[in-house]
Amino acid sequence: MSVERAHPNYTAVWLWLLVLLGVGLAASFLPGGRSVALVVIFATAVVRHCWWRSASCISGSSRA
Amino acid sequence: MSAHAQVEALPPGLTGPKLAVWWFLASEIMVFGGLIASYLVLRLGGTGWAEASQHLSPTLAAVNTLVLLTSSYTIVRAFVAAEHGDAGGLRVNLALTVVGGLIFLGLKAVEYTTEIRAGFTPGAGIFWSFYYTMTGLHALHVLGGVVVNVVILAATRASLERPHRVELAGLYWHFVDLVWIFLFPLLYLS
Repeated sequence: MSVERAHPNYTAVWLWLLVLLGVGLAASFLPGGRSVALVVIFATAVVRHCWWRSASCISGSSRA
Repeated sequence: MSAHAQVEALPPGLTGPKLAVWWFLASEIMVFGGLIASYLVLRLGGTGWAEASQHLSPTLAAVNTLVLLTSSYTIVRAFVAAEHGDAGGLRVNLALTVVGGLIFLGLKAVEYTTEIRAGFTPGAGIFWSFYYTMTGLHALHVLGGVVVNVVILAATRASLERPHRVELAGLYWHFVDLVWIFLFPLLYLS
């Protein structure tokens, strides 16, 4: 039995994460931007978490 | 039925090995969650934390974040390669993941050396105690992940036959990355 999984577009997710990281870092250097930076970087963590779940979780993968 | 056949007959979804890794990660979340919660409670009720964090290097930490995010990308590429029976892709992507982990540890060592030489030892204050505890524990996890990835890399043939090994290693690696994404802003940017 072989069960193939539809993988998400990992490259696009990775690029989104890099963009979020860049925005967060840029915001951290602006006056009063640290709060924005924190929000953006935690958003990165959320996107990261979604990626994690889609990459390797309960969605199921098996190969026999 | 042989042990090999039993493993291959595992149904899709939350299999035993995956459940074991999730169980392990749940205990890890409690460890890091407890540390982060303690850090937040003490920091919100104290003074001088922001001044102490000014002595850290956000640039090095940002590079490390980039390295870890990229290594998470390479490990999912390794998993996809393993699923498709692509031995070359599996080897290259796993090797890149290992290199990413080693770069992370190297940069962390540079950071620690710089800070300790400047007098910011773990005993220099409560911020530094938390800093070294949280980042040190995280670095140990990165080291553990590197070892696991090296073991999988050394057994490429077995990993091609059972790609869930790569998947489980990736699950752990994603967790290590995720913890860092929380530590980075909490320690370096706040």
